[in-house]
Amino acid sequence: MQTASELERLYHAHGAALVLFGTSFASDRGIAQDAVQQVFLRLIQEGNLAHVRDPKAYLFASVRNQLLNDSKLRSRSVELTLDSAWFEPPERDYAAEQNLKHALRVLSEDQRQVVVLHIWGELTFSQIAEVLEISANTAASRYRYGIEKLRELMCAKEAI
Amino acid sequence: MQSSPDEFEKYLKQFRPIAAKDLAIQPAAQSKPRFHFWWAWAFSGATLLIAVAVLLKFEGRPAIDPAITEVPNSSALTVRRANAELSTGYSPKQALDRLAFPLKPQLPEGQQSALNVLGQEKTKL
Repeated sequence: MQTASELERLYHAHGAALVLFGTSFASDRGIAQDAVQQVFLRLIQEGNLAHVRDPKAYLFASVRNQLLNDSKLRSRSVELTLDSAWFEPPERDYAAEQNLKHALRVLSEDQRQVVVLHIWGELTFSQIAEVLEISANTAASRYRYGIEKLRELMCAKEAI
Repeated sequence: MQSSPDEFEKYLKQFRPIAAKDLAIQPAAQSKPRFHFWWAWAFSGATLLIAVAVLLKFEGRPAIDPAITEVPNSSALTVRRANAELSTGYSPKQALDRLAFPLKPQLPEGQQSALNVLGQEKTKL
């Protein structure tokens, strides 16, 4: 049985990345935060991660499933809102944070998810493949295209 | 902007995701009250059972004053005599019979029971 303190440790270790991942394809940060809370509360009440081979990947997949179920209820009318902050920028460069959010918004949902999972979730391509139910090669490919597009978008924005 | 993909990745990693809010229900706090809740119920149940057992054990056995158990010599039907008869170990029926039909009415020396005298007379109607 997974102890409550172990789940608490997982929440503190991955909570921020899980919420960011949820925010990257949910309609807003509040919904993502609620989904992450739902996943952990369910695990606390009835969960057992002992049978799970990779708890970290399992958590990201659970948040994704939670949000997909929620999205079905809302007829999947998802439009990214950028009102709330997603990141704490280096050297309090809030303009750069806005720039990054806008660039991420332009990426396709598939690319955005892979980029977020690899950069801020610190998941390997194998883990990403497990979370998104795709092959590791597809995950790596989406990442390559996504990161390149992100770089172009951010460079173009800075050049203006 | 960083030229190589590796440098760009490092740059992106400098942006830290905003921390998640605390869990609405703290895991440690949640399990403790449950434990206490069940113990409180178990304790209440055990106390109730003991109380019922004690009541059943002493039901019908009120503390008896020794003065009450001493059957008075008088044959008069008094509350004291009734109490004494009922507490002497007779069955309720026997006790009631003894109260209703005293076998030997005891009268002071030189006195007779009018009922006894009339019962011995042979009167013709």
